Amino acid sequence: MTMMMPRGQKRKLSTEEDASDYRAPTWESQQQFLLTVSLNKYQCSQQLREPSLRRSVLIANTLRQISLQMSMVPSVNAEVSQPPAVISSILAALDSTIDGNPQPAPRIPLRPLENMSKPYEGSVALVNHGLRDHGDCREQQEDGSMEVMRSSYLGDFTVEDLFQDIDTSLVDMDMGGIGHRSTEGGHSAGDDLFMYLPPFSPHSPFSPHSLTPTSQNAHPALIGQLA
Amino acid sequence: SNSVRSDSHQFVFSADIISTVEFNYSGELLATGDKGGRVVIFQHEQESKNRPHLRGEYNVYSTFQSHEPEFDYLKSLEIEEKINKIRWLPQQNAAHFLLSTNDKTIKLWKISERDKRAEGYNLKDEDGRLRDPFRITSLRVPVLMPMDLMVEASPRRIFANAHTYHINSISVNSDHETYLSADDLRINLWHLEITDRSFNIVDIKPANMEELTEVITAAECHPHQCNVFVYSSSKGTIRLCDMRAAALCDRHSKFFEEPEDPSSRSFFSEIISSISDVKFSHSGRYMMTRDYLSVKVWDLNMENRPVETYQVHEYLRSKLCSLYENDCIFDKFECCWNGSDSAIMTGSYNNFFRMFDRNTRRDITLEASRESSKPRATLKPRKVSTGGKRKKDEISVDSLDFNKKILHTAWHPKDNVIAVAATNNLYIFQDKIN
Repeated sequence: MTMMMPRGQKRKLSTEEDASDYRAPTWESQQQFLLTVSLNKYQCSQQLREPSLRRSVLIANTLRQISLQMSMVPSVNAEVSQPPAVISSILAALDSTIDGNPQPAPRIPLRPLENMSKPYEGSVALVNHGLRDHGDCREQQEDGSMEVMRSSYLGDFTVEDLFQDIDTSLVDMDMGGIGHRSTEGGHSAGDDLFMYLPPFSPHSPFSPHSLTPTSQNAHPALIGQLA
Repeated sequence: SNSVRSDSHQFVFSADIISTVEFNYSGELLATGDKGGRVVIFQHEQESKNRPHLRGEYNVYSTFQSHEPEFDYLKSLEIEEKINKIRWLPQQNAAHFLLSTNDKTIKLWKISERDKRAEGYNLKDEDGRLRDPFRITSLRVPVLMPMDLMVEASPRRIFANAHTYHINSISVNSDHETYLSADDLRINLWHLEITDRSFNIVDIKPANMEELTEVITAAECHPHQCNVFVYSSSKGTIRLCDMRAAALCDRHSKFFEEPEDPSSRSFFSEIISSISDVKFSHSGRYMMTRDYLSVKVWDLNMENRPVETYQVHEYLRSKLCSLYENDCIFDKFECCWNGSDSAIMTGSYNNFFRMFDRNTRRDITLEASRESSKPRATLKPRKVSTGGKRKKDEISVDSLDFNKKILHTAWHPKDNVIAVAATNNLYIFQDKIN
């Protein structure tokens, strides 16, 4: 089956490739491509006015599927091995989107990679917040989409850890108006404490009619949840 | 026949993206809703006596602002004014009634005509100014005088605050007294007269939202059995429920699902199986579902597979990865039956729409474009070349414009008249009479 290849890559695709052939290199590359696309999609949807629940659920299900496939298949090479923790932290964040909670969902902080050869516009990137005690993941990648997979420092992370170094002084001022709301789904107001930093651009250029995600991901809004 | 010849093709340009299209029960009126919260109603003009073989055109009958953008202060989110659905009520008197809904609020609108006005008041002038009472020397009875037709739309009921999630469907019950509204996780039953409460009849919200893997995508009341309704899901299933069985219809009476073809399984199998529309046939014996690549006709008596499957644009199956990336895979196409249930219609990309004849099994692809809306134009069948050599007049898959999507179409309940919404253009195609 034909598929749109990430830019900057050349691979030969056999048209008789069996889609269920786990050992085929194209299967893995499609998995990785889909993972990256799904992560990006998830982030984009957070910038919409109110993310469509149907869309969030479908993306989450796709991510779970990829995650399941990846964990079932033994990795062929180092390129493919990825910590499932990355995906589960994304899924956990996605789940809180799906939550009827009125707050915008927490986002995994992402930074644009310097000189990354983008497999497609607006690729997923990792934010460097001076995370302590972990390996530097700034190794330049030939394929930017691999970045998420290769960074081992996310392996032991929880979402809380990711926010340790964020300056919350600005947010604390705003807490009176935004935090501690009664929420849907049986969450008591005290359980969910949200930090909110206004996005760089108040209006997302993302439009349902644009064909490709735009590069507004370069300015991620950081919204976190401290469970 | 292979072509649709028509004497009356209409093309209407709207300022905003059209988000719903619906004929009323007689087909005399055609309502459109748009992204800006406006409703425009077209009326079929009487055939001209001079040219009785031609159908009359649809002219603008009424325009009104149905919904305004709102701000939900609790969630700090804007509520879109976009009209998701319009459904007409059966006509019971001179006035027309319709329900229109955005993501959160349903409104009942009354559209009535006024073609007379009272003249000859005693206490005021014709221009409304009060007359000096001392100048009044005689009494007269005001008389009704004809005036230019005025069509007024007034909101009669507002059904609000009953949906946490986005409303995707409304459907008027055959009892003409109740209707249902469905959002991603819940379906409510309303009485048309009562706005301050509704009955929740389906709730699929899990206790733990992390367990949510499926949402409601569409719902419809059975056209004749007022206790029966169906709802479809993002996993490609349809549940038929009987309201007599229980107050809360979480348990279905029938469950429709086609077993998956293992040979075509991919990462996108679930997404493309998500049903975007479900419509009962006029007869009430069948229902039709639209998923991303196909339209399926189900016999209500057979739950394990559809009786008919029509491929809308199978050539997209090899492009699913790209369509996932550019979000087109999430597009929600609608589908509709013709009046006799012998044909079905649905939209596609590149302003193409497809019609399938259930009896002859023939299908046709047409394009809603300015060219086709010229008077006496014959709608030329279109073809997408799927591989190998591209024939003349065919269009290749890679040349398709995925921004030009036809999501909303409607078929006149009796005649061969169709309305096709192409972004912010409305096309009305009519067949010659006999």
